[in-house]
Amino acid sequence: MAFWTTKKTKTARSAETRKAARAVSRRRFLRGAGTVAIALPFLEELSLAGRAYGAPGDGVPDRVVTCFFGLGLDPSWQRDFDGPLAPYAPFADDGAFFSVNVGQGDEGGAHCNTSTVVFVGERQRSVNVAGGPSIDQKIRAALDPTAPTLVSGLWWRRGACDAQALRVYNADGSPRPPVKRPSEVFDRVFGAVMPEPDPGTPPDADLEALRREARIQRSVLDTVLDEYRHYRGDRSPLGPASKLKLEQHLSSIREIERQLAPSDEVIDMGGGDDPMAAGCALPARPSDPPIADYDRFTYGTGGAAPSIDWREFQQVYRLHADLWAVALRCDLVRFGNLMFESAGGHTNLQGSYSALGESTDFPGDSQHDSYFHGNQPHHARLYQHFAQSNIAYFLEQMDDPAFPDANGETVLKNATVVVGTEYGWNHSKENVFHAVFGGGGRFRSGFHTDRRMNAIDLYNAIAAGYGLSPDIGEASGVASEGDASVLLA
Amino acid sequence: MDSSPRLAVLLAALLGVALGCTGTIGGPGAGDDPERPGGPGDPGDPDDPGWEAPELRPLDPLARRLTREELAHTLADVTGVAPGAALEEVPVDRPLEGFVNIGSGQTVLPDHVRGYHAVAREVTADPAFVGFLEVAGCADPSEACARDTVREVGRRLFRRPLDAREQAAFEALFAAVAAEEVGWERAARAVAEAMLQSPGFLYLLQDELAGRGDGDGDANVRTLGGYEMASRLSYALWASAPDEALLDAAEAGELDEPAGIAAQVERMLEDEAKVARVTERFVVDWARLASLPDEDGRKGELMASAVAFYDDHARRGAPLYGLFDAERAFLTPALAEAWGLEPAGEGVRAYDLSGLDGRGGLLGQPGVIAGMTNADGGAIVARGLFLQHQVFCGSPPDPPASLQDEIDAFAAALPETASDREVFERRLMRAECAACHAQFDPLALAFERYDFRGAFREEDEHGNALDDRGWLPASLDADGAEVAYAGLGEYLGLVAAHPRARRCLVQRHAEQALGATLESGQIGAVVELAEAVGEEGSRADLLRALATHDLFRTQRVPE
Repeated sequence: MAFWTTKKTKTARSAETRKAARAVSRRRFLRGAGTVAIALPFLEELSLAGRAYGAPGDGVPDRVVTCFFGLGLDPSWQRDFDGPLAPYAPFADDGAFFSVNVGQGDEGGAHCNTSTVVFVGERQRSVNVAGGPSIDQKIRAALDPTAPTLVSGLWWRRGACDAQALRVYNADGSPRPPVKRPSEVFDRVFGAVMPEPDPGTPPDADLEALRREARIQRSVLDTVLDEYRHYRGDRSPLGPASKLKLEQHLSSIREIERQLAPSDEVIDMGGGDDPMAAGCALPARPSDPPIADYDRFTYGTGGAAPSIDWREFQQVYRLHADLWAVALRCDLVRFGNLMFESAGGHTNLQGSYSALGESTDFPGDSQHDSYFHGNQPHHARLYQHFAQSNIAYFLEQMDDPAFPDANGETVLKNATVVVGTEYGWNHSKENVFHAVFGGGGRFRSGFHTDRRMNAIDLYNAIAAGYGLSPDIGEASGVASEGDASVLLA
Repeated sequence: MDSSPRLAVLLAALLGVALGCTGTIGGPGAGDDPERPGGPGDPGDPDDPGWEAPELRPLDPLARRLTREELAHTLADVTGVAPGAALEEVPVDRPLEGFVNIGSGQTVLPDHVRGYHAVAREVTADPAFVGFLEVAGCADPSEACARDTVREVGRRLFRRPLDAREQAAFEALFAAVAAEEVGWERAARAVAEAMLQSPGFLYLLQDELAGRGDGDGDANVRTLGGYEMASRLSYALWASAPDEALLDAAEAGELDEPAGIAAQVERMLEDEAKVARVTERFVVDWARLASLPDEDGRKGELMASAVAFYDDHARRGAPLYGLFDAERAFLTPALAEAWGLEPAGEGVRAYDLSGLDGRGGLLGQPGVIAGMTNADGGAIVARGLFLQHQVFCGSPPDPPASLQDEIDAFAAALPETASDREVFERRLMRAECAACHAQFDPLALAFERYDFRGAFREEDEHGNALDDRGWLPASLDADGAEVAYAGLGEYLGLVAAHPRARRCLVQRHAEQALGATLESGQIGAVVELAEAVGEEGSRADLLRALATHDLFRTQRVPE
């Protein structure tokens, strides 16, 4: 099935459909959560009554999420849904598909050289320092610098440079390291919404005790915020340089404020039948499937990398995806990256995998060595099908009509999701697959283009969709190689 | 040695000056210092006859946050409760500007905030913390007790009395929590939890604008107040908060006078366990030990060995400059064997190296050799850059990007079995390389007989015999002459007596103590302190001189 033969069927959702979607009860959601067998348990008692972060205007927040997968896609697989991209077929109308060049990646060896270029565009400052912000952080900085970011995902071997496992960069090119344990994702996103009971609280404490503790934590945080505000204010005893440092500290608090203490306005631990509350039903803290040592930053390559059955790898990735989806629905996260395997793809997947009418035994040594250096395209096709099917799973969670945004559209329709990888075939810095989904009406979708372009051209088009000037590439002198304005609505 | 590389060095000298490769602060050429050599702000070379120290330019104030280590020490010392697992959530500090406590090199990320929050929650929840909360001598629901608790807890956590605004803000928090009917203890804990995340606790802050606009000609300089001095002293000497005696001395005005400061320094130096924290951090940061790889599982031993060497030197009150050539080492059995020595026993043990020419000194400790080798560019380049920067306080520039193709071609053309020295000699034959490399590569030749982990060897991995003869570059000599050395032992003696190495050692200690990098405006103070230490003065003597010096006691007032 080719992109250009896919009929555009997307239509505006009717008012009735929206109403029906919003009217899904929380109880039904919880049942539904069970029937689709997601691994994430939910707490019936706790839900958010409203949006945690407080969206402006129409109540639909600006959200930009990048999704990375390691290695890359052969250009011939990027043109249709008959191969590794088959899992995206249900989202064909929501996506725009590109091949970009990342030739500005010239620091470090293979898998390091493009690692700080994907989603950034600028030429890197050094192997582990990007030449500018990742696209999600660039937009965040322009629209709301305190909006919450989440960086999470899976990898088991970092390889020759830290950047292989880094996907989100601040304006100065410094990275925001990803969280690997699902339980830690939970703690960062939901931990304070459901405050830890105070140590003095009896184990059978009722909701009122938890609520009281939430109020105390809020008061503590408000006092702390006031202290920082004082030092940056007119009566501060500090000079400009020190003020700036404390201003940065204050921004950092604001950014994770929702993790430190719940806000008075949004927490309602009674839940109720409010459909919006249903959308924000809060998950229970997941346990981390014991598939490898999460805390070990890097394993060796080849046989020294951990062997993991693909079903177990998928289970953990989907836990991340589930947490992400709830975090986006609840407006606890707006920007960041969900990573499916680091650059280089060195996890040793095992098990028999079938798709596309074919099957293969994942070889138990790293995908990288077997598929790329071993140059076995058959295995690579199925491996990449595996990767895309999991990213498609994340898209599916974001596109669930049971949990609409305030405008009645799904999170996927309103948010911008940029999927990208590091190479074309076998370490080539040309024809690097990228796709843009959703976009809230900012972007055209339902097409694939063969136009030659650099990553900066695509990222600038995405930035332009958010009203930003297309200046990516200027800082490090990366030249445009084509026109990506086809993306813009 | 073949004389041709030396000739190339001479030919490259002019080019080297043009590239700014010879800089040291207060040396001939100032590297990337804004006050360029020969310019109006150039402080000149203290080794020149007739040199006069420029007037001290006090440091600009900059709030700096407590390092992770200081945070832990502070909590343990002040509240009696040390952080546990939560401390792991605070990001590890990186010595971006030389030492982890240097304010201009510190970042603040959401991960820090998350870590501080976790630490505050964990520490205040510890049952033992209640003892600290009762510091005001009361634990009852009265308003008076709330007020006294806020005042006394605040004085200890903020290292000074709270001002009226702060007192009111934390009393209001106390009242808000007490209104939840959760009892005195929870309310007091909430106050401490907030204080522990506030700038008054997490940052070393000063009343930076005090005195702005008054004064007579020195309006942009102020002397630190008593409490500011108390914190500066305690973090410089103990890596922790002032104790009660120091806060009392501040309150009594004793820290406004050199005699009062000196008395406190004497008292503080007696607490050797606390002073040892600063010693350890100096060695770890100065020798860049924290970033050592640990693939052979020896990182911990290398660090412990280097730290033990300096700690022993400091505790014995040995001459500061003797650090460079003390004939001792502190080795584990494995490190001793790597040096060809008979292990003296388990753990880190002292070894007397007298009679073993070419061993010893801080620079000769295996951990320090490993630290100076842990960088790109081959052992000689990595070590040379380290030595020029850390021992002689030079600022070598990065290789010009325009030379990258030539550097790549040079590297590609090298024989695989070439010794480091052969590569070095080839590099020096090329004027565009020698322009900079001649300034630092020769400093590293003395360490040729040690591998990247500081193990002693007679030949390299290709079977090339090793030669540790070399020379100190002419740019380091007051008379502009190269000074040859015949091996590491002789080299260490030259360094120990070298006025610039001595000043640099003083400068690095002062930077750590002040949490700030020094520039040419402070060179006069560095020279004075180096002279005050003299031949026999110890590290403690340096701290005594520093604590009462205007460099330590004054600060510029921002415009």
